[in-house]
Amino acid sequence: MLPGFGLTLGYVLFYLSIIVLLPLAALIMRPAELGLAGFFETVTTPRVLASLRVSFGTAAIAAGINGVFGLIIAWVLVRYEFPGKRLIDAFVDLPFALPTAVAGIALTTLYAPNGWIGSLLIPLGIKVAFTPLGIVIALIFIGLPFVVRTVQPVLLDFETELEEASASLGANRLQVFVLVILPSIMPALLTGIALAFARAVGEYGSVIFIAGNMPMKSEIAPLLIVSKLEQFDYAGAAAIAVVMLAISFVMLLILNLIQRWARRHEDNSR
Amino acid sequence: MGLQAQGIVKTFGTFTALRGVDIDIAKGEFVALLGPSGSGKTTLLRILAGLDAQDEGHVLFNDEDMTGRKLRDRRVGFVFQHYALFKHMTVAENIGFGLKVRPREQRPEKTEIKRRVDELLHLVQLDRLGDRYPSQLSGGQRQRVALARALAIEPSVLLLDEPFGALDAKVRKELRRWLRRLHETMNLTSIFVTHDQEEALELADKVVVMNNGLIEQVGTPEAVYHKPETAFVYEFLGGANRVPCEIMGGVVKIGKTIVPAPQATDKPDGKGIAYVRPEEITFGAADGPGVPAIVQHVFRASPLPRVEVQLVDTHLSLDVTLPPEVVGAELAKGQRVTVNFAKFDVLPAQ
Amino acid sequence: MSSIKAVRTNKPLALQDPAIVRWGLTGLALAFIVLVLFLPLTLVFLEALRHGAQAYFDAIIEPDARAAIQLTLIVAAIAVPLNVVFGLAGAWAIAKFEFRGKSILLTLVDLPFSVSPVISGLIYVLLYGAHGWFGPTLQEWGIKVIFNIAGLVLATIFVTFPFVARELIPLMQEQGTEEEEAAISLGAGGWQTFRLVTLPNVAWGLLYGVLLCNARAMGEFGAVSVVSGHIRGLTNTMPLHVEILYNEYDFVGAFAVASLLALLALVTLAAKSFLEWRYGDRLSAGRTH
Repeated sequence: MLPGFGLTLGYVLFYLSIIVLLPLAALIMRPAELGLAGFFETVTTPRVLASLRVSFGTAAIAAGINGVFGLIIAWVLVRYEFPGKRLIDAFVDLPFALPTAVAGIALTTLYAPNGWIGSLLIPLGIKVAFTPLGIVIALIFIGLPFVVRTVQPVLLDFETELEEASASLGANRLQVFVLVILPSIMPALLTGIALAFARAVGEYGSVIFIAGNMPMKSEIAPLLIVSKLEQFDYAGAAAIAVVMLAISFVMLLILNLIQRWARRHEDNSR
Repeated sequence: MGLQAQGIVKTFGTFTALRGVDIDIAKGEFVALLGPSGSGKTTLLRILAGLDAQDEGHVLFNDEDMTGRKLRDRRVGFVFQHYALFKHMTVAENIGFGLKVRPREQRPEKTEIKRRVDELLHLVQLDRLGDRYPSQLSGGQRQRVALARALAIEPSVLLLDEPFGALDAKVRKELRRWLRRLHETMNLTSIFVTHDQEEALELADKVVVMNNGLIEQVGTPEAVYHKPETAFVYEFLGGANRVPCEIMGGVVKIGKTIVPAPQATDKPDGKGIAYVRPEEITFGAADGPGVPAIVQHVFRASPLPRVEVQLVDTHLSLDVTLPPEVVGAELAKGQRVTVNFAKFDVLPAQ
Repeated sequence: MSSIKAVRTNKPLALQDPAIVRWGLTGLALAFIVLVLFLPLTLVFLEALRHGAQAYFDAIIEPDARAAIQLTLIVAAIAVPLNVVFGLAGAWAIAKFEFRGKSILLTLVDLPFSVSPVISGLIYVLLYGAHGWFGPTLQEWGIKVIFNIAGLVLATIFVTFPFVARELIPLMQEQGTEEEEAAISLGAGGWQTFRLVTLPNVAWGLLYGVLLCNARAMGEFGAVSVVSGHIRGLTNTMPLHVEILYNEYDFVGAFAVASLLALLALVTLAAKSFLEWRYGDRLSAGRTH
């Protein structure tokens, strides 16, 4: 038996208590002062509901797009050779390292009506900055590496024998991908999408610049929390936060169940 | 279906896996590709299957050149070493896969697929396991599913990569016999890769011994075992002792002892190697004729008693197996004896 | 028989995609990366230098910008070491011992990753803010947490504390306890064992965790924004300063400060890639952020 268990565990529990548990307790108990009716009234006002819809809706769309492109990028990085591949591979992590505020102002400038991309889209009648579409763009940026980095290792570990077996049985390339490869990487892909989604739901820094923050239209839930705080409505802010956490929690729970289902036939002996 | 490979060369980077291999397999033959790891046997099998492309040479199926022909047009049944079963599909879905992925106009009806799958399940004696998933099967059962899956496409040739490598000894023996029967009843042409000489000699009609990217010898199991043609085959098959000697006309000199060797008359004089199988060595009294040696160890805890002796002159150690009736009780460690070679072959040293 | 040479390739034939698919997908992936990642990053530097190098340097050495840089460094200098100590202690307790409630503890360690940054700030306001649980009492004692550097540090600690622990726990678990037990049996003390056996084994993983922890600590926006109060020269970290300048239409100033953060991100990425490439076998295998 190694020494130091009591000391380190004690320290960890102490640290977690003051950094996590105590503040979380404050978060969960604060809305109580509104009473049950007051709580529901607060979180069901049209503006709050609209902001939740914007937050979860844009996050879902962005996570879906990241699912598609993240899979393609992971596939290309694992399966193909091209010059500069290692650089590109490292670069995929940029959103993990780049502060969200920096991403926010850069994307806004890029997609503003007079920006590099925004000016190209305006003639097509597409307005990105200061609309929900802008929010989706920002959330695609911050979510991309989650999908790539969860799918990539699984694709790397994928037994190529399975591909050879299906090809030798007469399957064409598309059939091999759809019937054999995709089912095997599905749990990882779903995990990646869920991580991107969870991150996107709560995202603040990269979104507020590009969103335009119009109530009922492009106002995200975290921003509503901030404005409640600025009016010293602590209980209201906490109520929205609790609802956000609860929805995220339930979604992650569902995803966990889906994953367990998807992995039901995996061989544990190997 | 007859199958030929001509002048197959394959390199991986700086490593040459095959350096010009020719092989001719007749319809209905059961062929073993036998060799140590790195000998190129699996590479050859994969090239025959169309899983890898050769750098040079041709693969012919019934005299038709398969070079550049797509894998799925070759109709090769390939059984992978670790089976490569699809984990997310049931046993029945695995077996039916090859039928399901056919182009629409060639694809059998659903009911026909089911009938064929049931037939194959019966053939591989897994009748009631169609709804199971691979993770719920034993190693031997998985192996049979892999076989059934490969047979479902009615392959012109069945290729098996180390088919019994991942199984334990008992299951291996059973499956071997079963596979042999299957090959005969289904009129297959089969090629399998193995590093296990016992497996190759017991199962195949024809053994192809490979080493270092080349074929050393092709022949019936009897021929490769009893009439090895190269030094490698001597050592790889039957674990022959390798005794350096001096070839001098009809005799060889081992240490200071002259041993008659009529079989070496046609070999050039000079340094040579005598190959003696452990069971071809007998013991004589210390002062009798033969090569003087000292007993090092006697192992009696095996079906055939095994003795390790060291030649007095050259300090070379030899493995000897005694017939069961000679218990070897009279032999003791340190005892001086002479050894005689009932049968041996001599090749010039390279 | 003519001796046509077959296509020379070592990739198994079944794994080869048609050239059009290969080029199509590679093109698509690269285009997406350029559009989504590369363009915004390039724009940061171009916008920062739009009015020349002089304007750029002026924007950086301007007093409020300098104060923001200083504050960011101070906050990181407090938060990162605290999280390193926590990460080491946590990894030791979780990886080297078996106890009940371990998985709950692991979940708690992961928690900040799944909480919105705004909520991460909010929870401290609810505790220490003017109307928080402890706020009024602390105010009487003259202690100010929210709208002060203490609040910034707390919020930063919260959002960054999983980084070190999450890298070290799986790494220490992979390494098991044999080496430590051997050291103890040879007469080493607990602290000696940790210093001489455990620490060298996890040094690269620790560096990796610190790198990511630091990048996030310096770049955090949402959480610190809530607790900062945006007092120029006092409680504005670099990301918050970027926001203020941007909202005041001082784009060169905003992008100049942003470019420093972008540089930090690039250095972090480079160092991280180097560690993965050079010491990948000594980092924990199951890495997601």
